[in-house]
Amino acid sequence: MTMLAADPVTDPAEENAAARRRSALVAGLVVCLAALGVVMLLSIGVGARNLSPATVWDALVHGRGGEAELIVRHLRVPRTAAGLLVGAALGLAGALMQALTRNPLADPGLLGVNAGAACAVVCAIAFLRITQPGAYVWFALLGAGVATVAVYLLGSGRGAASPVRLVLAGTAITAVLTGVISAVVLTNSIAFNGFRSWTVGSLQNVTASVVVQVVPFLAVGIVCALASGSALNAMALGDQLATALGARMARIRFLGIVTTTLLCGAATAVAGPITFVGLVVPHTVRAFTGPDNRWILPYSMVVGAILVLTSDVIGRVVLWPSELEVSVVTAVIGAPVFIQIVRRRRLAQL
Amino acid sequence: MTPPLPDQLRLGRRGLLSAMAGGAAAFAVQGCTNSALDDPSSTTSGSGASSGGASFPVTVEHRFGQTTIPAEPQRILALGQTDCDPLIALGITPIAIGSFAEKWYTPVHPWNEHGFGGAKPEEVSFVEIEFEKLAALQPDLITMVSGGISQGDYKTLSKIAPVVGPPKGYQDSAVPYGPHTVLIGQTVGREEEAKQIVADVDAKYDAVRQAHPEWDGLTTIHAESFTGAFDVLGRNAPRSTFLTSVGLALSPELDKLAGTQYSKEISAEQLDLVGDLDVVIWMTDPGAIADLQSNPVVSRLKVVEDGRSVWTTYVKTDEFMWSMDWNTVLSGPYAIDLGVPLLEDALAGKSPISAGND
Repeated sequence: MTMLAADPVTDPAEENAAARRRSALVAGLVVCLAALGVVMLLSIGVGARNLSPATVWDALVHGRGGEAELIVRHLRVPRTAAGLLVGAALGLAGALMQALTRNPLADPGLLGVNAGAACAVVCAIAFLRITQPGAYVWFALLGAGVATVAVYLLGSGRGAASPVRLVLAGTAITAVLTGVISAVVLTNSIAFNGFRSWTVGSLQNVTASVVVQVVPFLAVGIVCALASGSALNAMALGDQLATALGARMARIRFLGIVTTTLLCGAATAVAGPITFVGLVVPHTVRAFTGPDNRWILPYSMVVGAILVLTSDVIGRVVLWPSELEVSVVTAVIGAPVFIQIVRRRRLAQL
Repeated sequence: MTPPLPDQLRLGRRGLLSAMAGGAAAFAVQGCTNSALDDPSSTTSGSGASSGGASFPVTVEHRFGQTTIPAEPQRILALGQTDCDPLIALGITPIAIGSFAEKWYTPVHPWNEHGFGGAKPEEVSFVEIEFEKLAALQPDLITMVSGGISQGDYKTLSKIAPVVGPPKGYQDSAVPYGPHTVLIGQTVGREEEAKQIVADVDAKYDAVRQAHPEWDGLTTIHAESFTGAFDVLGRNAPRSTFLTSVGLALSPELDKLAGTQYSKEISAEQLDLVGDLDVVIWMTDPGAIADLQSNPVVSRLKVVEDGRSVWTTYVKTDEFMWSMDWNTVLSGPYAIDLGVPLLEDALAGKSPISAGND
């Protein structure tokens, strides 16, 4: 279906280079997965309570009750699972969004998903007196969904939704929602409080039940995102050429947006808004993989999870025994990396 | 003498203001709860006002300097969150009182409602001060003794009427009832009467300690949980001083963590420091006590499993929480009446929930 598949490669030298390149990419992905494993172990092993690795292992495998089991099984394991899922989702959503909008600076928040989720959570706290993070999840997902639909309808207008129109609509909707959030929060100190702690973006108090609630959404989102690589490659050629090659642009764009909403809405519901991961991860990854979305997507997923989990572990260590929120650390370590990449490399074009 | 979610609010809108205002005063003064009488930081000068009789003009000292009240005030605006209580204790009804001015909050409680004679008092916001509205009330004295305004707001308010700020050396929202009442007493020319009222309240706390010698040395803390995050109150927070005033001791480890901050966020992994105490007072959002009790971590803490916890929220009908939190000469005795049975029940393992949380 895609041009890449139809492209006849005849030159043996070129074929060799392609094979070498493919094995380098596979090896890189294996290295990333190994790194992810290490970070996950660190995330289970490190925290405000000093527990020896042996104690942690014992509590993890055998339970045995007591303080160690409480901390390892009921706090660190759900937290690690949440970091893994949130990071993977944000990395994927960012890659998807950059490909869909053909904009290397696109961020999952560009289409109003974050603002929609935040606005719904604020209204739930202010008007429905919802105080439990477990219940925020549904409002965040609902808000993300409604905002996306609104952006899509506004961006479509007459004819198909073009990336530029979608981004403009997203910016407009985000501005409106941000105004609503401010209005509610500034006139209601309870909402102000609840929202303030939610909006920081933290994995600190994630419970297992919240993680379990969003797993189905994330699973669907991850599968759809990973399956869309070839279609996104076609899209990268531009609407006309891609259509000529048989790609159904409107459908790809629509499915892509639904997938982004699922991923971003669910991730935001769990941890609150964590910015920067969706922007910096696909960008960094692209410098290594090149423009092929079939590689960018899985790499972004794994590297996103590594970034979020590493940030969370660092956040637990720097102010020990107090903690720094993951979103703060993500921005602090993500920004210099991002600047370095932008300065040193020619930006990988989309 | 604090708002219910004081730490967050203080960090937020009010916080910037009070941080700037209180910058110089944001140091610790410890253990002053019951020692108003020998408090050296507030002094009265002026023409013989120290006799306790109303002889004006009176000059009082406070955080922002000196204020002279030319004649006995007739229209007092009690803007500080709990300033109405000492005034009512002295038999004075303020023309308007400070409030969050939002639906979830009320400044009128069983211990001070008699002061308003059944009428609903005029409430004015101390969160966002509406200067024009305050000027229209034509006060001849504005009190902000429990704290929470900036130097700039103090100056602006001073153009409306003489303003009395918090006593020197105390943090916002953590002025103990002694200095609080004595400064207000000086301001209205009734210092001796105010000192007597404070001594009576001191005696009530002494009586509790004498009645419960077994509480001496038991460890405690005030733990809060909002939207999934946990914090503990520092030693200067009024609800902490209530616990120490009845003879309990704050957890040394947690006291070290929180220090003189109003409250300190702690990681869920550190909750066993709370769990190992003798008795704990929990506070959470209205309607969320059951959620907190069934939290996977909280429910496994020893102090919760054994029922040695008292559960409160900031719902306006939770009079125990509010009376502790106001910690005035009027609310203190009320907090003793409600709190002593609750603490007794908790120490007997009954896991009591404060009344008003239905």
